Amino acid sequence: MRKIIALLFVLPLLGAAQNNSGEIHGDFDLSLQTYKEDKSIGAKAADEVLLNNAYFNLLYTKGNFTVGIRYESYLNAKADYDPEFRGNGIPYRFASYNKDGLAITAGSFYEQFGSGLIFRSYEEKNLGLDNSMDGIRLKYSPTNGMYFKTFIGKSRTHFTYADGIFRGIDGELNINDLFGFESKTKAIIGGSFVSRYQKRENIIFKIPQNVSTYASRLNIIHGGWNYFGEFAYKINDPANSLSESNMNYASGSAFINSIIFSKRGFGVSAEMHRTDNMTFKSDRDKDGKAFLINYIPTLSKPHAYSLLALYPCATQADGEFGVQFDIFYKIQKGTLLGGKYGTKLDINYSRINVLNGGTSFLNDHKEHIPMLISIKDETLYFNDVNLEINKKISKKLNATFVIANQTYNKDFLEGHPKGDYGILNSTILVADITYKVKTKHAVRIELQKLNSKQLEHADELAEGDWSMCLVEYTISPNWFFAVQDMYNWGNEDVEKQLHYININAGFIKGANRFSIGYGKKREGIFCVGGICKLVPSSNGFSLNISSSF
Amino acid sequence: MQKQILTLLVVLLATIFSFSQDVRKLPNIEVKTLKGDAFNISELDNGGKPIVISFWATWCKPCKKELNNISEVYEDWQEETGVKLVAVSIDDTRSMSKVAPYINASDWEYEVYLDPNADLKRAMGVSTVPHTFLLNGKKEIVWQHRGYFEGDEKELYEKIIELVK
Amino acid sequence: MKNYIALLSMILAFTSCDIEEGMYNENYDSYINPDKKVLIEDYTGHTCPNCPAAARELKAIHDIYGDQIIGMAVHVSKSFARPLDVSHAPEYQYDFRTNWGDSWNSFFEISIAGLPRGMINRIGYQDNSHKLGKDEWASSVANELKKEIDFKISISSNPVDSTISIVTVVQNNINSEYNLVVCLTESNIINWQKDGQYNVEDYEHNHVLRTVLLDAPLSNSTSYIAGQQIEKTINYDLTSLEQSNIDYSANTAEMGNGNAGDWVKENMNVITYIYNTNNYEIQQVEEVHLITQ
Repeated sequence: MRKIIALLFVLPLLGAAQNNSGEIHGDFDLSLQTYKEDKSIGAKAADEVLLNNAYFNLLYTKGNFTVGIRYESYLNAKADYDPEFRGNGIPYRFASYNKDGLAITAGSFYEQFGSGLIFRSYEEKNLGLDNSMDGIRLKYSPTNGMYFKTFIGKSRTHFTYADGIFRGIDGELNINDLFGFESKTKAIIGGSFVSRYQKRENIIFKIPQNVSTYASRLNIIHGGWNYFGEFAYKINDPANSLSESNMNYASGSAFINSIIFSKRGFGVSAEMHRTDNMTFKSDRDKDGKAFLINYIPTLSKPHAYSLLALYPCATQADGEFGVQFDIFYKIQKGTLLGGKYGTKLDINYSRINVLNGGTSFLNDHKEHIPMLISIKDETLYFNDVNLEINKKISKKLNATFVIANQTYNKDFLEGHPKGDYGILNSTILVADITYKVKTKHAVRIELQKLNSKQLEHADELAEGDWSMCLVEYTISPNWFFAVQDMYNWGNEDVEKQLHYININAGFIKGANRFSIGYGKKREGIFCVGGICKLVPSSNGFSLNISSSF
Repeated sequence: MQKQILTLLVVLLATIFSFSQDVRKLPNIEVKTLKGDAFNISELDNGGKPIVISFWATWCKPCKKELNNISEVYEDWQEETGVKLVAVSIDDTRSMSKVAPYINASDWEYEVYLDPNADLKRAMGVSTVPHTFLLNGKKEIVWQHRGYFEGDEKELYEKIIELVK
Repeated sequence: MKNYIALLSMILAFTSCDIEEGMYNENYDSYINPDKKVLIEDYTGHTCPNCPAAARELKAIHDIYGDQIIGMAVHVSKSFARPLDVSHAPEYQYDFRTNWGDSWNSFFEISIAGLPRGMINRIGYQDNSHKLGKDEWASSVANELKKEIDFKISISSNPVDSTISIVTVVQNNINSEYNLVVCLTESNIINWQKDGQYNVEDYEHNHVLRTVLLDAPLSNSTSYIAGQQIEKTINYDLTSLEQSNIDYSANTAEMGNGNAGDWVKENMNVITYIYNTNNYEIQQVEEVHLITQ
């Protein structure tokens, strides 16, 4: 039945081929990998030999009307994706109409209220995360300076829906535009409400069937200053369990704040957040990233260099307190440190610790409310202090240097019992140099080093020190070749002191990209925004074809 | 049976696209300015001169490289062709607060917009960043390129020059 | 005007939120068939820190419904159940795995979905909804307990001559293919277990699957009449069964070490169940002590 409805969305596309008055465009991606057994790195062979993920998006627009459809195929899904991604289907299709400030969408849609603290429906293909809503969404902007959004729908999990039915409304008012004042200071306020309905039958405990979340936000802008704050609250949301020690009736809250100041050549940002029992899922009884419906980003810098991202931080929506500071500064050209072209500096500091006594807990026999702000003596989850220097040395030579020190509570962040791996402290150095060999030819060399030690006694052997080297040769505008080696020379387990070598090559023309690769990948955690996926180790070929038209 | 219908569907759609119009306009999607205002991307205007739209993020090294390299020659490009470069950041709530400080410290003169939930990114068929589009004087998308290698800005500039000839 | 109607129609009716005062449900009233018994299979591992919470949930469900709940802990997966190497001794040296546990895990694809995970009477296999996280067990058990029964099973275990007799009494006229399965489990095994933030030395492992004595057709017919009685008697030899687990751990299981013995027969139970061979759903289950206490 669903497939027939999906087909109906396609009919206007056939019409377009006749009329030539609408527009059709889309994109597709095919990603294939072979998995060979490799006992040294713990890589398992895939029974199917090769695994692939593919999708095909198509959009048709005519005037104010848009129709879209996406076909996804997992035959079978690659090892870093949930195994429930299996088979083919059309999990995403929508029709929308937009006119005079009113936009209506029927079918699948993505939506974010405020900064996503109570509701964010989005896709992140690198994580295998897609919780698109399927239902109706209305957005209305009656006058300049205000808008309302409302929706009702079910959230997608793999090729089916999660049990909860969501209803939400969000509004935002731009005070200056609405009341027509001209002022150097600008204020925008917003509020949202989202409620989840899920039936329950529990023989001993009362479980709310409608769980509501509220959020309000404020953004104040004055010249180069910008303050943003959002507070979110969730009523009691216990799981459908029969074990009393599991039943937590505490409400949840999250509070995020950021202050930014920027002017020519200089920018600074300071952020703070506190979360407490704020995991909001599309199905109260299931676990895993496929069931998250809100988004609390992790308060640390998203690193692009592999050794800086070896031990990434994941957001603990159930309870954490974090701060982050960033300073961006450009030392002007002509000065001593600036050199001929200027030097850019980026200093970043972030620190996240547990809430005093852990997350809020409430039931007939136990009650705990953590302190509002507590930093001293609290268990540290993650700490990162780093400096990035970007410098154009000459017309042909460009360099980036990074020095960082990170503290990573491996036991806590990876779910191991205390004392197994302890807390790791790593010092990382990165040098990334690009040299323009001749017009349109460039070679880039990356050298990275990580020295790590366990801060307290740990039962398991430490992974220890790493080195990494990458050489990439690019020929504009079409070709690239790269060879990379990550070497775990410091592993306390001698058998694990391995080289992870990879070679990659590819061709890009316009919006088309083809690439092939071969090599070994370390088992690791890959995080985007604070949600992480476990990537198993692998050894094999990979092929990727993607295009946009 | 259903699998066959689906495959047929996909093949049919692929052939349809090959007959589609070359004219492609900007979608009717809202993005945010750095000052928190909503802005409909289809209202972008450069008085009949070319527009470059580049999708980037503060965590994307090649994106920053591309936009930094272009910023060195941007003034010249503007003088010669009147082109306007619009940089759309797909940073989500995690790194959105770093956009304004980063841009100011890098001395970029571009028009910058924020697309935190990837609405514009999806509507324009972008899957990875960097992804750059070139629009002609009639705001039609005439060229696009993804990825960035040192020297790619020369190809972009050649395409811009072709438009103003 | 049209715009204001659009605005009003947008404010959909939201139900009030249900803030609960106090925990216990005084009003819950639901029918349970007192003859229906449910098997909860808890797939677990001794190095799985989240797994004891599932064992606690199983116990809580058992505390509510009593003997109608029969538990079985199946230790699976190389990452969570293999014994750790000798450098970790004496921690986590035991191998709780069995070849039946590993093959059920492989067939039902349980551990690939993450542990802890379980099945309630193995329902839901046909639409891939059989793998349940611990918070889904309570509602699934409540649904199962409402069902009609087609079989009543009684077991009598005679440890003196090592035989087990099973008598199945058919309750309704039915037509389908069924298999009868007889397993032995052992409780009160004190050994290491990771539990949340802790490494627990003296954790009590209960209803651990040791062996499957029989998994064969209930009868050679596919039609059954109400009142029909089917009897089955099995002989077993605990020593050779223990040896075969030791051999499986030493030779076949991934990274096993042969340390699968030291069975205590006084702590063992017999679990018998009948399942429908078309959809794998368990129709009825029964449990007795191997040696009557």
